[in-house]
Amino acid sequence: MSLSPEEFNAIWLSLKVAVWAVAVGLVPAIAFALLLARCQFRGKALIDAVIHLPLVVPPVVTGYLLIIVLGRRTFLGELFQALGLKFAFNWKGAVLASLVMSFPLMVRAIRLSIEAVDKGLEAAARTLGASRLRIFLTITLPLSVPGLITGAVLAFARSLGEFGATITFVSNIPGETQTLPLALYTFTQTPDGEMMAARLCIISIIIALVALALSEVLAQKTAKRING
Amino acid sequence: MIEVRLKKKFGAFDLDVEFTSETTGITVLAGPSGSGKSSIINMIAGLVTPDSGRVFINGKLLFDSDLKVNCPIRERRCGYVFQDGRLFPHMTVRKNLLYGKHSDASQLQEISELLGIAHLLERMPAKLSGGEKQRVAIGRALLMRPQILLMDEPLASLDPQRKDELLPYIAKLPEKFNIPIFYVTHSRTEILRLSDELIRVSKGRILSAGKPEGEYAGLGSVETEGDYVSVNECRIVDYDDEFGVVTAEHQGTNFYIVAAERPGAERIRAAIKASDVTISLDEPQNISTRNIFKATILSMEETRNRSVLVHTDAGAPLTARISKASAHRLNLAVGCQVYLLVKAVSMAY
Repeated sequence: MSLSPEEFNAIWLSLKVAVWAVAVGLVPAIAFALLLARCQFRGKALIDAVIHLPLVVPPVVTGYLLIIVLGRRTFLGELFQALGLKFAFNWKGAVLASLVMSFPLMVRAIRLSIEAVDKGLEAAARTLGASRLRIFLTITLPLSVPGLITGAVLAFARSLGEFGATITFVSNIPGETQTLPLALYTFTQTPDGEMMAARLCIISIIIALVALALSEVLAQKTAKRING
Repeated sequence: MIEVRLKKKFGAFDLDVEFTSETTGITVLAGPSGSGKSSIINMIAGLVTPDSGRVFINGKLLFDSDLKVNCPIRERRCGYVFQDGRLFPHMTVRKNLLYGKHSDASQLQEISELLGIAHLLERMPAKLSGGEKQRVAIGRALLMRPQILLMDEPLASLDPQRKDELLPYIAKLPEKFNIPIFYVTHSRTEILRLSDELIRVSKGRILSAGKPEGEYAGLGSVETEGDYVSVNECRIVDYDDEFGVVTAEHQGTNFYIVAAERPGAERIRAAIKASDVTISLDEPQNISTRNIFKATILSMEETRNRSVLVHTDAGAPLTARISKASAHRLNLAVGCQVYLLVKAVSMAY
């Protein structure tokens, strides 16, 4: 089974978008997870709600909001363009859409993991003279690795599957914004496209399974390191 | 020089304690659970902030509510050994030991050998026994070169055998490291074995503080599950090899203690349970009991379960627990001359 250039483009673009979405989102996700798990402050519920919004509103709404906030002629859109980041009808826009959609999943998984870290260990580290930063880097973060892996895999899978927000925000341009699901959708709308659609469907499943297997191996390795 | 003055309200419970300590030995904080003894060392370490008070340790002011001084935990240099060890599970024993900011790697070998954990350095904490974990926790706290070592019931989660195994390691810490140690416990064995000074805590207040002997001997009725113990610091004067009897002297009074071998120390603590003491009005003759003391009754206090604690001066302070009925039958009163028959003397050193 050889891939047609169209299929190859869609797969490559999807992987690129998903990897970027996870890579860009991971550090902010850790920051927000830490904030929500370990800090008490006014407006915490609001931040929590805003982060989770993309999980509960229809993806098309998220895509539309992205146009309104980050479209070409908006203030933020122009700001990013000045920084050399153009989102509209561009694969970077697809990354942004995926990032926003998958962010709550990542934050949730990491937050749960951080909350599960025994605060007693952090207190012990503090009596040993460690600063907050050192405690985070040497105790809290390493012990949250299982959550980091889960969060990254969930976000990766969610990004691979992203459809509504992407097509609304950056449209469906082959080679630029046409990711796997968008290509699949296009084929289902084309006469005699069933065969192509089925092939993309199988490819999607294979990618998802490989990602899951990889995360499982990683999770086992970390567990083994801790439990000896 | 250690100066501690703490006030803190925890809901309905309030803690108000004040004490000073000069020793570099082990100061045991003893009291029933919920008495506030752990809170005291948590406030010394900075893990809990008092409402008001002052903590001053070896020339360093850690907390003073009047002067608005509150030294951050990480700068207090209080080595803390937690009840549950709290080893970092994702680090080897070696990394755990050297985690402290001021950890002295050049002492790693010496301290780990002293604690008998030198062969465990590359292991993960999950692979250690309970006793080994606590020894690593002690080593970690010592390697940070602390100003004071705080230990919160470090043996409480271990089975009796492991406790016995760990006690000697703890007992020799003051001599080896020359730092003050505050040790929280409610176990009588640990109090007798370890305390150079004893601070008894109850309901957020200090009941008594000082050497754990004489009038401080009452190691509580609650703390020791109903047993009242008289403790006297003694000097070993003789050991009879044939019969295995130790003669220990306290200010002219001799105690005879059965022991399988000569104690390793020159000074020991003779502990006598109040319930092991019988009172007689006449001098007993032809009796198997070896430890018989002539004594004067100093005071009597009735306890909840219809028994009476009779505090006496028998050369050394000794307390007997007899039933209220017996006290009535013998017509005991303060000032009476009596004979005390002691069934068993136990030894701690």
